[in-house]
Amino acid sequence: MLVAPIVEVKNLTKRFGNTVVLRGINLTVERGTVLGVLGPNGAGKTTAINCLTTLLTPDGGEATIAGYNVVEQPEAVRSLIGLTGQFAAVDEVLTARENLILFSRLLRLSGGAAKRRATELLTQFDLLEAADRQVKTFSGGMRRRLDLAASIVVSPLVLFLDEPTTGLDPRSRQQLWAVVKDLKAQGITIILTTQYLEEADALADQIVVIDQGQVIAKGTVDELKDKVGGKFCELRLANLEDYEKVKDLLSDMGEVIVGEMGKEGPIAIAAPDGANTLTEVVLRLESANIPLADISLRRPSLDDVFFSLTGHTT
Amino acid sequence: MMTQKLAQPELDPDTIAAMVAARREGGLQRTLHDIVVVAWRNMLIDFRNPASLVVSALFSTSLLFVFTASFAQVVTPGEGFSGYAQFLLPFASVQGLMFNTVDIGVFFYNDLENGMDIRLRAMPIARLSAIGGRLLSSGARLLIQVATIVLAGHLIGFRFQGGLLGAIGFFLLPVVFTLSLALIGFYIAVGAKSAETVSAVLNPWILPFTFLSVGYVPIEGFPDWAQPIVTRNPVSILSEAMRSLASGEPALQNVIIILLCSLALCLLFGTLTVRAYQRRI
Amino acid sequence: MSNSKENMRATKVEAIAPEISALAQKMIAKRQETGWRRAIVDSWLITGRNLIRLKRNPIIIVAIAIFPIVFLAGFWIVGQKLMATQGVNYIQYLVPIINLQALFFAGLGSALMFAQDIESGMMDRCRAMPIARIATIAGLVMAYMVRALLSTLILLLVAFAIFGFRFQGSVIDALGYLLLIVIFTATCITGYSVLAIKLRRPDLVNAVAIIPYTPLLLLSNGFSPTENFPTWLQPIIRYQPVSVTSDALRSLVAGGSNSLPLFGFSLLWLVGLLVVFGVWAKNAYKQLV
Repeated sequence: MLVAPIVEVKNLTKRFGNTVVLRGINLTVERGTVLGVLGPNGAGKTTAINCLTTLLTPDGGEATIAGYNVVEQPEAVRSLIGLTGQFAAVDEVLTARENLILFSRLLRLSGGAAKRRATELLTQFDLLEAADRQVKTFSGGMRRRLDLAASIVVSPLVLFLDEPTTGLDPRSRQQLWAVVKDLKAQGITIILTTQYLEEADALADQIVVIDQGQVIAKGTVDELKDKVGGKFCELRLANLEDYEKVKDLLSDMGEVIVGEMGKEGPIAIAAPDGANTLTEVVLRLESANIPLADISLRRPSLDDVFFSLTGHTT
Repeated sequence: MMTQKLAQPELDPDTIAAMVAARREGGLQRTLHDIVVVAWRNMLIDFRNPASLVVSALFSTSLLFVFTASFAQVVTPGEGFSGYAQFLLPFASVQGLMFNTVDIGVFFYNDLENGMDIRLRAMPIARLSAIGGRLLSSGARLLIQVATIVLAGHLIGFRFQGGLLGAIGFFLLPVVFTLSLALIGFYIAVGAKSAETVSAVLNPWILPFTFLSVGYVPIEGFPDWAQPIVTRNPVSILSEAMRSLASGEPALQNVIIILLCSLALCLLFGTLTVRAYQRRI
Repeated sequence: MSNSKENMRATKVEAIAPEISALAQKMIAKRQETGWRRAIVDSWLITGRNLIRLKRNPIIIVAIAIFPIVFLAGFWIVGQKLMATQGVNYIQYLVPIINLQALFFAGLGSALMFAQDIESGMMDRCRAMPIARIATIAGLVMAYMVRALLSTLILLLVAFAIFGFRFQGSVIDALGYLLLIVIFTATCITGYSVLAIKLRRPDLVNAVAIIPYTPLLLLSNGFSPTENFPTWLQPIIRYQPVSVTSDALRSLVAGGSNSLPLFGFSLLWLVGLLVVFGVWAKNAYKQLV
């Protein structure tokens, strides 16, 4: 028997007044995987999430969670999902524990079970020490973790994370990533929007790129990277005046690509032979007495992917 | 990148000294200039987001109308409404301005909290430009309110009978007094932990001061025990001074008392605020 | 949308792997959000949360107790002697409107909390959870109802103990007083919730919310009898809802024989407004996000 994906979205459209925000989004998510939804500000990521979490009614198209239609059976859908919105939606003057108990009770846990679950979550999210402090004393990272904990009080089938690490410092971000990976390991299906390409790189099995209300690319991280091409040899010149000379020297190996930062930034050349290409470049420049500031071999980043798909960066 | 030509000239001690001199913080002219610039920024924000300004101006105007409508016949039975308007307007403006001290205190707290103050402190500008700028822009805000209420009062029969000098005094006196009161708000704001604290500390004081004054009703209307308090209440004295200024009667004694009160408040809370401000961070 | 068993079955159940489908149905059955018992439990939980928030606000004691009492004392000192010349016992006259004012300010406060919930994303979080739809609103109304009644209790006690206010009506009059107060509070909160939903930003709500105070409270016969207003204003003053309600409350306080028609008129006004605001708020709430 062919098994349908746990989340299925077909031709979803939404407009606000005259502004068309979603122009027919299609996606599918398999159970237990993480889907990364990438896109610049205003691409329609949050609107799409709001439609899937029953906060907004789409104008057209169809979306189902585990077979339940988000428009026709919103109550059922809400029982299956968890949502962590863009802003840490927890009460400032309540303590972390009180916040979690409140949500546990709202999700039908009994008084005792709610308390136990709160303690469990506080431990799991490394908030036990701060459990009885009012949330207004929390750092941004702690707030985010609490926010996430509140969304998985009862383990949902599908968890929606809308830009979960926006505004966090690198360490808090790492901590949050670890939590998300842990949730994935528990078998929770996760849909995650982000502006950070490295975040999608670190967490997502599948990626869709949304721009101006449309899906402009989808696939695994590797597939998307292959779309842009293979490896690159990237170099920085010590003296910018050497640029023309380098271009001539390497002309038979391929075109020298100038990045966003112009000649002052790193320049690159396709490296079909990997390390051999790099060695060749070093040898040629050395014999021509052209000093290098830096040289490396790298795969295209999702930034490159995004740039080549949309013509603009995130 | 290292090979890029330096955009800046070679740095020798003379150039650096010139830079420092050009941006020197001290000096009276410099201080005034900086304060005006910060005040200008504050006023721009007020005008771009005018809800609070408009509402507080409308609120004191509406108090004037409503109390004229509901108390004129009680306080001055048999007379028209314009007589009571002439009596009430000075106080209605004072009351409106006094309610503003809470807002001003909260604005100053927000200045301190939202990063504006830190930015100003890190710039080579006068040290007191945050306080001075907020005070100055608040003064402008208060003047707008007095103007609004005077214009509105004109409709119900309020008239200046005391000449230009009296009118200028009428506008400036309550603003000066209210700003010196606002310094109390500043002092609280510097030490407060939340905007709510600022309004919770300030709010309860304003009502008794306004109620226990010859604002709504003349002194004879008060119970005997309250009369001595009412006559000595600065709000009463200010209302009386403004009434005299508006109607062209001698007002010098009351004006001097109010100015002395303001000066005392300024010296006390100005010093306290500045010291607390310097110790903040 | 009905909450029949049929509705709890997925539309495309045959295509979903059976074990997920079974799990989903179990989850849905367990957390099912509809039904009146759910509505009560959820509303109660949200009320509890709102009450904690109210309790931890440093300004609350000022808002609940000090503010109304200062207003009572202020108007009393200012108006007592003058009103006595008109033959009005001012403390008996004044307490009902000061009480209504306290309830009105409770409504104003609720708008602020509501707007904060919308801005912080709390409202979205609750709406995306399988909880009764009514719970967020009911929780707000009930928490502020508690605040309003507490404020009323303190005010009446102080008015009784310090200012010599006396309730001269019967027990039935007292119940009528209580009923009007509860409905007045509900009407204020519902009306203000429309403002909160429309404006959304707490700072804007804070700036604008005072506007209805002047025409509704001050331009009423609550502080000064209707006859003291200009003749052309008197019809409006006499029949506007706050005047009608304070007339009714004063009559109940005095235990007069003509309380019933005044009570009925007031009830008509308040319930009518409540229905209008309620429908308006509900429609506006649907368009939130």
